[in-house]
Amino acid sequence: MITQPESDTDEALMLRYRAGDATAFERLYARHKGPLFRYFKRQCEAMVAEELFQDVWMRLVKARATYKVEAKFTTYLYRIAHNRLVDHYRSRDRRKEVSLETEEDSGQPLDPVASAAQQPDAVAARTEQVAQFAVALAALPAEQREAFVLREESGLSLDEIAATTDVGRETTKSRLRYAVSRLRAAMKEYQ
Amino acid sequence: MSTPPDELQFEEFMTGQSELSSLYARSSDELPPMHLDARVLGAARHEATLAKPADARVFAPFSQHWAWPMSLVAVVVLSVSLVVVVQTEVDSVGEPQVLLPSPLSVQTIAGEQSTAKERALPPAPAASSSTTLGTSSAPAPQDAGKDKRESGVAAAAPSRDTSTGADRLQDLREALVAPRSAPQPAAQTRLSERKSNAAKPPTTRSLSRRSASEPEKFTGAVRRAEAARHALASARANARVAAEAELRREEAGRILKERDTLTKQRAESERSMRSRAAQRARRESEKIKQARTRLTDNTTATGRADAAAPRAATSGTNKTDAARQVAPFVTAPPVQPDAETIAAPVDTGQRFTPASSNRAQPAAQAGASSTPETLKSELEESRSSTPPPAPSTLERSTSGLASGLEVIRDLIANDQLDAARRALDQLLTRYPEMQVPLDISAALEFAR
Repeated sequence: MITQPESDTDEALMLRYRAGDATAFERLYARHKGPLFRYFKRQCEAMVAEELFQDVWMRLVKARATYKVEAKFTTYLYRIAHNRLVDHYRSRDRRKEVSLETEEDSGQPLDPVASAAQQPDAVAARTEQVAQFAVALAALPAEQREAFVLREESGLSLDEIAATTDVGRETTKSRLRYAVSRLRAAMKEYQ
Repeated sequence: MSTPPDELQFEEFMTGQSELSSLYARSSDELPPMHLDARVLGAARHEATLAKPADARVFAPFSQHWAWPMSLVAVVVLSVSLVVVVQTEVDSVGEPQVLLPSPLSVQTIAGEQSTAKERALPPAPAASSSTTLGTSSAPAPQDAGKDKRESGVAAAAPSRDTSTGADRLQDLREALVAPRSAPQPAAQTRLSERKSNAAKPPTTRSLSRRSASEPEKFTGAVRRAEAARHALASARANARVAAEAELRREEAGRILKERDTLTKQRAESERSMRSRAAQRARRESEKIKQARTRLTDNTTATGRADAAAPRAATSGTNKTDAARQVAPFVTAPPVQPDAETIAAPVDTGQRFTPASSNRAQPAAQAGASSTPETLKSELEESRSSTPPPAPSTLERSTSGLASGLEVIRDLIANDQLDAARRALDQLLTRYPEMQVPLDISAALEFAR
């Protein structure tokens, strides 16, 4: 693992950008644009994911003057993303009368994102196993899927995921356990 | 119903060595489109170049709160300027000997300034200019003369630096010789102003010249002089008020002193009156005591007289006469000077006792201890004594009035005021035309 110098951490880059250094933001953006985009892409449609992705970065740009190093930058960034995603879910639920809050172990799969059939190019481009994994991931409940994606994309710890999603540590751990169990069950025939 | 995942599998996932992680990594290679990158990075650069650095804001606390320092600076500047202006005014007021222009010169200055304004105006119509030309002959400066030649407008001299007294006199003569067919009021005013200017002392004229050349400075001097005059007038008024206040204060002090003196005198008079009244009361009480004693003695003597009456009847005397002879001896006052000069009235026999009865008084006073033999001898003696003078002698006597007044005076001197008052009443009854002497009336009135 490559250790970042002190001046090259996310927090230092954000501080430099707050001081007016645009190149620091470019480096920060390059570092986090893929995971954040995939975070949204795993949970929303492609168009919505792009909109939310842009909106999160714009919010970060606007909030740079008031930025203080109080937590890890990744936690800060994904907290903004989570709030934005929740807003999106709420607005969509108001239209579709679909509740976002579902029982964690209800076993009822949500289909908030594009199904595998809606992404024929991606499915065709990957192997069958990867396609099946994507289908299984999309079939997870939203909370479990978000916790799994946060863990895989940004490498956040249980506490950081809990802080980002504004739930307790044990809740986060439970969500991750259920997500792992379901994914392993879905991928069992390929093992 | 799903069963809880295996703990080992979860631990493996958390360490990143799970097969699921590798599958996820293989399936997640999407990146945001290029137009999104360009849009986000462009917005970030724009924001970074537009706004000031946040650190600069942190180290410049007044950059966003400029109202406070600006207001502080404004207040300081205004205060300092105000103090400087006031100091200048005070210094200028304190300057001695500011040459005051006379009201006439001030009017002249005003007229000159208005004339200068007229000169600065465009040329007037020909009708008005011709009338002004006929009466105005003031020496004009070079440029004013030029204007006059060009426009035909009579320009009153705004600046007199180049004019001399001879020129002014010449102008005055011309103005007087000029026809007076239709003199305009303005022209007359100017003429009178020039006359007054010619008659002014050089100082005033130099002031006028200075006012024309430096109007603002001269106006300031005039204002300062006015301020000094006002200050002097107010100081005089204050001094006058202070003098009046001092006079009033002195008068009030004098009145207070007089009041104190009168109060003291009144207290003293009251004290003396009180002491005199106490003395009088003491004397009265002594008299009452003596009268009681005499009354007791009289009663005793009356009883004895009654006892001696049969014997007196044998000797041809009247009992009543004897009683009448005895009673006055008992009740009469001990001392009645010159009482024999006044014929005692019938009803006042007890007060104005005949002089002969005085001789029997000691015997009467000693009657309480006298024996019947001595009383008998006294009655014999009284029978043989001369009778009292008739009352008509007072009426006929011309000196009766003076004697009565003398008796009254004696009674007053002896502090027998009631007796004196009664005697005066009797005198007034007998002599209605008499006038009561002032000392007697004053003494009796004071006692009342």
